[in-house]
Amino acid sequence: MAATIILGIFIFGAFAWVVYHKFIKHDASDCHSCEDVGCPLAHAKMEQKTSRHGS
Amino acid sequence: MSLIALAGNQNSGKTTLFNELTGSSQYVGNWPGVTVEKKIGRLKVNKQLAILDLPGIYSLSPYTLEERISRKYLLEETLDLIVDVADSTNLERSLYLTLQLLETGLPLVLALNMQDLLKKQGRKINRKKMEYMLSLPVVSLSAAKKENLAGLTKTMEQGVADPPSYPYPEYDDRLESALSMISTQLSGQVAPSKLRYYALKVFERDEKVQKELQLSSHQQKEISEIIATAEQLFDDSSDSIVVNARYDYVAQIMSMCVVDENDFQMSASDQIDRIVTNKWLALPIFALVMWLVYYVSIQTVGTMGTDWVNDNLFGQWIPNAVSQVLQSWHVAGWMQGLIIDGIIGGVGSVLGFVPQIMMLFLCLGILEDCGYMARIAFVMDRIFHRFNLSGKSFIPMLISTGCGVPGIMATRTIESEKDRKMTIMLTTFMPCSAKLTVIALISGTFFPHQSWVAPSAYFLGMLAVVGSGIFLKKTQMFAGPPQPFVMELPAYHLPRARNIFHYVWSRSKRFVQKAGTIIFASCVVIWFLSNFNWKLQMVSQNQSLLKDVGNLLAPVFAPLGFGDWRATVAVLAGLVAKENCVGTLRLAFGSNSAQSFAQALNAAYTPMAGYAFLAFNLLCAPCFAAIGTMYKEYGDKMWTLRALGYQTGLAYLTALCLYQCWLILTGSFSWGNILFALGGISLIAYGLVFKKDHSLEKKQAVV
Repeated sequence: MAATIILGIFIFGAFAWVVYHKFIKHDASDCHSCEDVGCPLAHAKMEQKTSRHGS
Repeated sequence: MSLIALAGNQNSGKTTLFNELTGSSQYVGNWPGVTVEKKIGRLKVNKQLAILDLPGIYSLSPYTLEERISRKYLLEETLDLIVDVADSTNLERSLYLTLQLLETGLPLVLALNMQDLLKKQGRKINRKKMEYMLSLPVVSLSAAKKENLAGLTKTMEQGVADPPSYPYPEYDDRLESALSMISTQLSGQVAPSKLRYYALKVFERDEKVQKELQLSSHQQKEISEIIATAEQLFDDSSDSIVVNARYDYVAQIMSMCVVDENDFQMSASDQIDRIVTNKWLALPIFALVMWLVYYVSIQTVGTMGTDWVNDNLFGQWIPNAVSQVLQSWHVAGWMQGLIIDGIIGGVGSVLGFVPQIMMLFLCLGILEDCGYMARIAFVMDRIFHRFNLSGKSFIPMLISTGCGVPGIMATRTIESEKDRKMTIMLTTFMPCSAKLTVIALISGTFFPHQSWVAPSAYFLGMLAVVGSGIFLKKTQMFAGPPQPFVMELPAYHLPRARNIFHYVWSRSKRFVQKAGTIIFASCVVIWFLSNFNWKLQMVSQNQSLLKDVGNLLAPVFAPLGFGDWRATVAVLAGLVAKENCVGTLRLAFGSNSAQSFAQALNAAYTPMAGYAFLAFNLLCAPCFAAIGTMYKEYGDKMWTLRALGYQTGLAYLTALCLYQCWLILTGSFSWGNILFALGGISLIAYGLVFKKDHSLEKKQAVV
């Protein structure tokens, strides 16, 4: 019983956090990590960093 | 005896030339009062001509001892000719001195030395052009290789007999105006032939010249005002003004006279582009490349990883281990069901595609980093232009193959508002990384050994874009000429491991994060809906909320071949995230293993119904995140609804035509099927062929 309740709190807590962050909270950006989805501006920044460190 | 001075920069080959011209008949001494060497000799072929090797100098500004000696000799001694020896491989630096020598008005010949080294660099100097620009005799030679020394000798003899005269190099109008005013102040004190030289030196505030001229206080005041005005105009000091003016002139000469032969040679990139962007070969090559990409990632290499993950990791290890733990903790049955069937089953079915996704990202990353993807936009522009579209619209679509959100945002680069709105509508037709899970599921389940299925999804998206472009451009809303498209094609290079790694890692990480968040939340909701009824009692799937919701809308999808509640709820769940299609189907079919899931799907749907399901999900309204971005970019609800309506309508039409035509072709059809097929094909034909082009009508009206 205790395990069920603890797991329930954990799973529904995580569920609530996802719903809040993804659908309710209005962030400035649509993607929380533009780089990860292939935004070309973020990609250009990354290229600059790479060429500075790599060259 | 005539005296010819060899002037030039240090290391311009002056001394080598001097040695070749004079041979052993030279005298080496020192310049009076200094330890700088003075070399004088007679020309081998004409002993009447004496050659003086002046110290190497970079300019006539008196900073170094050598410069002072050379300047003093050039300006004060009577010379019959100056041969300015220029290093052809460092022409810009050499021509600076040449311009200063031209300013002196002294008889001058320009000798372009080190031609052998210039040739090795793949460059040429257009000697005749340079002669024309400088109004000077110009001789090309190589003192080290003894090339064209005879030509130089002949020119020197001619120069001594008939000293060349030339106009002064003319600089910026404002500087010329200042020099003209200074010349007016100096006339009477300086010989007319030297007026230009002294005007420049005074403008530069040359101390030696100022002492030499002994200007009156009135002259000094006037000249100071002229210089101050010029400095204000140029926002620079007077000596910098002159230096810049000379270098600008040098740059003009360089651009006109120096030819880099490499400019006319095709680089390796150009040679590759001759084939890759060829009018006839470009598209077949592109089709082959994409087929290979999808074949490697979805059919072969990626599948090995996916099968292992589905069969072992999420098929046995994790469910078995978690099940044991939950049982040992005496967790309630419904909670165990939620965790094992709902979360692990649902999320696991999506994560199972990670190997294929990573493989696909690896292939696309290689294509992008090596420079090939940029060519696709160029190739597509050629095709797009035929249908009044612009290749510029293809860039957001390329980005959308990662995620539709940045793809939609990338439409901001399109200047034409009509084209931009149209591109927003069409950009999500390209399969994003989320839709790859649906592609992988359908191709793996229904077409296991057929390599055409996965790439066909990509080309279906492109076909939808082109077809939609043709149709929409005929409407008043979007009619207009295509925007010009200019883009720089980067040179091809070997893909860089660091870039590829980052490309694959960032996108794969995003995929897994999404699975752990949105997909997780969706699976929790889907599990509840599929295990509870309206009274919130735990029931079997056949009596669940999910089935009731699915059954409401299922008849809509019946003509597409997947008119059952499971596929319907999968389509609806796909609005949250396209990966949910896979997770929802897995939960709805309640399968314990990947194999039983595939068997259940094959039992429920025909292969063409599966393909129609794929086509529908590829083209229909995108996920909520993309819809939200569309709304932000449009700034208008009506436009967003219009776009969603068009996308879903086209998706329905496409899936309908595919499924109905397949039924007819396989012989298992009824009159209803024929009507559906004819209706769908007629609509497509009307949109592409028969619909009036409003842009043409406008043009005719104007004429």
